[in-house]
Amino acid sequence: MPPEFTYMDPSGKPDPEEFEDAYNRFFKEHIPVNTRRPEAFHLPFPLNTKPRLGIITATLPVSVLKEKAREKQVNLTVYLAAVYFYAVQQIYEDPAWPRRRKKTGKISVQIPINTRNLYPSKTMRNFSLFVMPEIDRRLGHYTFDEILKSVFHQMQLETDVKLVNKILSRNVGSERNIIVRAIPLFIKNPILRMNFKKMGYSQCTGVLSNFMGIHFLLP
Amino acid sequence: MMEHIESVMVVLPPPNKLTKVSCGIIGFNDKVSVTFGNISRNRDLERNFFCFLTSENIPVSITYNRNCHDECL
Repeated sequence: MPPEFTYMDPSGKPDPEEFEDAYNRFFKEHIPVNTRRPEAFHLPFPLNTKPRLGIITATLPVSVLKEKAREKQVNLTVYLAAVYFYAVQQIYEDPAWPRRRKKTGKISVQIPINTRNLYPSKTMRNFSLFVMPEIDRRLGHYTFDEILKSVFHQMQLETDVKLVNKILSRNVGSERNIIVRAIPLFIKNPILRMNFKKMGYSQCTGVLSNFMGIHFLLP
Repeated sequence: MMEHIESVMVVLPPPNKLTKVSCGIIGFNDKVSVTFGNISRNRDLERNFFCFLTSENIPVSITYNRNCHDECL
């Protein structure tokens, strides 16, 4: 094993922090919850027949992409998010799609953030939150540079730990409520499903992962 | 181990009926891999995305393309 490779010894005693619920640990009470966002524009495409999922992968040289991002003074996640916004805007502006399918001009993309950079947790359980930068196409056409500027500043603002606390308190607050906990699951489940439909993906146009590089150090 | 791996891709959980498309990005070696999962019949978003990158002189090569009714990997 190379000395620089940090790993967890499977025969060792696990750190209790590895299986902690980090959402609960960093939850702060009495924080105003995040307000509900209005419905976002959704791609007006008809669905495929089952099985629906099609996958397309492209590779790009990281050096060229980094150079482009550096020119614009942003990181790769922001650069690619701006390209995503630009691509969605082109669909919004395409006259082939009827106006009734463009009820709202708000284009919003969900981007996960690395919460372990904000909160010192070693948990191996799910611990992710996301930000949702947006542009409102009803205000007019956005050039790529305008989108880039807007996405960059929104990402900077929304990844502030105080604002992330708001998202965290929204997610965890109701879970800790004693009345909510007392309600049986078979009643809660359909209500949660309804809420998810109303408040979940209706608020965002699409999902984009943040950029991370991976390394395999093993020989 | 790096020399035995040609490429890596990340496929996000299938998008839901509202969002229809999701996009996963990962870096490996000197390449960035962008993967779109799409449950709709239209590929305009992917085309616009990659066309914009090529218009910016960023070389894009499609390495994997699986239609919804193709056999699995």
